[in-house]
Amino acid sequence: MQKKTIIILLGLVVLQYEAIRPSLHAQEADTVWLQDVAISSQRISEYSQSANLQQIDSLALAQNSESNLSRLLQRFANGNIRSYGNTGLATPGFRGSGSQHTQLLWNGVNLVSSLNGSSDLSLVPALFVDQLDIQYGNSSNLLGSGAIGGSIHLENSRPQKEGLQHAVHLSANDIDKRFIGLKSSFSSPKYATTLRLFYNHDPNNFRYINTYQRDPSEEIREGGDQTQYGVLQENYFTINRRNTARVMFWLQQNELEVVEPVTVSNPLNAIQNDDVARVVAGWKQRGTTYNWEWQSALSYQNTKFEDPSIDLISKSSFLNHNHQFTFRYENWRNFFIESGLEIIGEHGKSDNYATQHNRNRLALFTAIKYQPSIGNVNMDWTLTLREEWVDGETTPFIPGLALHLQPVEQVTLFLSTSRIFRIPTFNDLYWEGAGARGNPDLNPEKGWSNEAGFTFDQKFGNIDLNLSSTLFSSRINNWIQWNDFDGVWEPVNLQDVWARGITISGELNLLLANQTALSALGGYEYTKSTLEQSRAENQLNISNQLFYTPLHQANGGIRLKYKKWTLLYQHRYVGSQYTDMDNNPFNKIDDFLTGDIQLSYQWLWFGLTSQAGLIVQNLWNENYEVRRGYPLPLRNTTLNLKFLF
Amino acid sequence: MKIRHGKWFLLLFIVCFFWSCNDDEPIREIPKGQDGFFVVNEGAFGNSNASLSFFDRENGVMNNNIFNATNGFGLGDQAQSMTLLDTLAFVVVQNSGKIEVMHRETFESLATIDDDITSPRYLTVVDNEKAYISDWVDGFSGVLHVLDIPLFEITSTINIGAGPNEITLDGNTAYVALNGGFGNDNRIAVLNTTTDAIAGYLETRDNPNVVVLVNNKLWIAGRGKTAYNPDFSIDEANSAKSYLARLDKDGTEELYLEAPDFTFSNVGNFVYNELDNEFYFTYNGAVYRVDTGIDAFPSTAFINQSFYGLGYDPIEDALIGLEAPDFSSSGNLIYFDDNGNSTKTFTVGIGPNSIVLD
Repeated sequence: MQKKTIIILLGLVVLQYEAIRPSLHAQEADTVWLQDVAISSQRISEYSQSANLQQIDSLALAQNSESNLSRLLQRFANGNIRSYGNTGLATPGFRGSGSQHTQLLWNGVNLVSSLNGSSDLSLVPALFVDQLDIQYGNSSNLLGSGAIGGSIHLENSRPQKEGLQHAVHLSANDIDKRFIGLKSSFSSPKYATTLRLFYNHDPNNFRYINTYQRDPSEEIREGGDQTQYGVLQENYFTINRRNTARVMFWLQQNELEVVEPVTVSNPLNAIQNDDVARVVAGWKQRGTTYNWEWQSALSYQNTKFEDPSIDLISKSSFLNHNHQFTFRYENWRNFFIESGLEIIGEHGKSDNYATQHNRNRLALFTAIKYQPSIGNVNMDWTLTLREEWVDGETTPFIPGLALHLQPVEQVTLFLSTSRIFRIPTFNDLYWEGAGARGNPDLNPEKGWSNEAGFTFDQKFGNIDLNLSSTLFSSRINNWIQWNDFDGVWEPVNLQDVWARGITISGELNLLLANQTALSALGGYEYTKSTLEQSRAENQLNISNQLFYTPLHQANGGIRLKYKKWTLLYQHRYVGSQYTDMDNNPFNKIDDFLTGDIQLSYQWLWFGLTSQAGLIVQNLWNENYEVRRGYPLPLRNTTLNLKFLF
Repeated sequence: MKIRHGKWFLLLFIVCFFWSCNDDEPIREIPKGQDGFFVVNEGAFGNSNASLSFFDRENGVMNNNIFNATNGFGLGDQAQSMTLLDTLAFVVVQNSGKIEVMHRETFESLATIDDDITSPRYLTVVDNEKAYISDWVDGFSGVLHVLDIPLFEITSTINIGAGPNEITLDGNTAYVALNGGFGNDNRIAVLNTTTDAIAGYLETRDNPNVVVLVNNKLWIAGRGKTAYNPDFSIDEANSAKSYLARLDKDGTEELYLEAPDFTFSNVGNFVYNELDNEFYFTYNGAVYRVDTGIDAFPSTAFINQSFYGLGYDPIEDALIGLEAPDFSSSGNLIYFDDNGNSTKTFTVGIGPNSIVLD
């Protein structure tokens, strides 16, 4: 207990470097008009409804290229990641929302499955991402359906260095995870290309302590073997000074053993195979006061679930195409306007649908930004509007309004309000199976989200200090939940939820002599997400906390950079989580503290620029889980090697 | 002479009278359920949150999570049933493939029996030395394990048929309903409890869930058989409705009452009320009550409410409905009077499926 207390205090005092640092930079970008932030989607950077944009440090991405999006977010992001163990399904749960309430976008293309409305973060390789941005809360409202808790943006960028460049990534873990990756780039003034390949195998055989039995003992986890292959090929064309184009292809295969909780004696022998294909093509023209952008994309996923023990084969697939046209006019009497059109076609098939289902969506959106100054106070008003039609029928109109005030140079205050919504998934609407059926009469989830906060940025000599805080409150009505009706499970617009809380983050950067830099950073989030109203007959669990939503989360870290050495220590605290709507204390997951330490060194070796990194994860050997019955690994060590030539 | 003998008889009478008032001797047999009853809360499948509740009749209090609170760990995944023997309580936890043995009064965990068990359903005590455990294994086959109670060890295993469920004893004969598990079966296995050998099978309708011995007759509630069309509507041509049946001990069918409709919610939770010689069961979102003289499937429900499990409290002579609202919330235990009106409700654990009289 004493050890835990000391570690909590250390974690809160010693602030994490990576996790929140970029949010303040992004906040600056928001408040300093037209400062170029390298996010391809302008709707993210310049019309965000609040300052809650977190950009994961590029060094963190580069030094953890063997990792996946789930692990990256668990280590570096502020939100809650719900994970079925080490290799199981991992989904985001930001700002007290559900797993279907966060969009996952790859270069602006929504990767969330139309079938089930979620995205498995554990299947996205970090190697395929050049920039990782996270928007929390209502700042994603211009993205439309599903961006209730926020959005995660995976961005690829044109290689900057001219000529050929290759990087080989090798990684091995003492729990037998193996990763091989290759990234080759070529760049010239007119054309650039990048090819990325990866192979990943994680047998999921790690040590944990089984506390679900009479005599807790250390055991080896069984099942959950994960094998992945993938290729990402990017092409960037510079047509002339004003026009650029890009085409990208992403192919990936996943073979996954479906993992069961440790309390299940007879694990499934089920295998899930995914075939993934994604293409995005776009053209951008930039003028002096305007620019426009067109982008089209295809996203396909075919999933086969096979359980030979019960002779079950179940197939499902979805093909989405997305076309966006955006026009932007800049700086007309302090007004900045962006308008656009988005066309989305969704096609879903499943052995559990009677037929293929299609859905056509059309959205119009506009963002108007007005930036006057009154005396010494800089102001920034943003009005966003989005209307979407689904198969010709209107969905909730989505307005948003945000105000940023900069009374003094160091301080920015902000207020924002926005409507939020999510349309039902194909499974919600059309599922047909033994003992379960969809409900074609479902209404969209909808609600309002409000935020207020401040940022503070001050330099003291060679010390740079940033602080920020956001209060948030979202009401989500018509929340869709599957319920049992006389032995048949069916989704209904069952409940209204109120998610509110506060986030606090801080950063300290210190430049020392002799090529030494010290950075410290930390954050805390309090999230109360409660059931406010239920349309169930018995009105159960009103005012109870949603399950798998911790009240308290904190992270902290410190990074010391000395010449070619980098030492990073990160600490994370996640409060206890209820696992049922009763908030039964006997079924809750205990709070936990984990720490990771990473040491990296870069050197020249036979003409190769080489980099080695040693990561000890779960340094304090904490036995923990984020999903009941799905433990996570005890202390384990990863060795990363990277060769550049 | 007579008087002298009369004195001795009077003395003998007085001694016998006071002897009979000795506290060590039971005045009467304590009926089952006098102290209360356990509630088996199955939990949500795959969520490791099965639990036990105990209704303390003296204080009128329902105590939840008694196993976890006493022992510091949970029961596991999908508690299917519970059986009592003297001071022992055997909790059968199907998806965790184990039997948790606890002290009946202190709730203290005594042992975990998990060797050689895969998907256990019910445990029936044959005598103080031996019990049978039905086990679905992979859901398509099925076995009966013979448990050595003093050693808490499986001593032998008998292949018996698909989906063995509850076991009914009759002298040295055991009847085991084979409900098909994930497949289909249509038999009642008959076992010699002395030799543990299968004496034969009684053929009946599709997938008998439970067999109850009443007045030397075997009463059966069966789930029928459900086949699906490609669109997952019920393929009625290849399906059979759920049913009630009565067999003679030699397997002769005396009564067969087919449910009126094909439904997802089949005839189940078959509970016998010995006091009133009645059966209760659930079907299609309602509770039905019939007596043993039934000759037609009832057309009127006793209670128009859906329950996950049923029970009968002989002390209060009342039907108990066990409600599982959504498997992420607590269940409810609801008492009903003779007119089908609810009289009192207690909160229990997630997914309550049965009660076990203490």
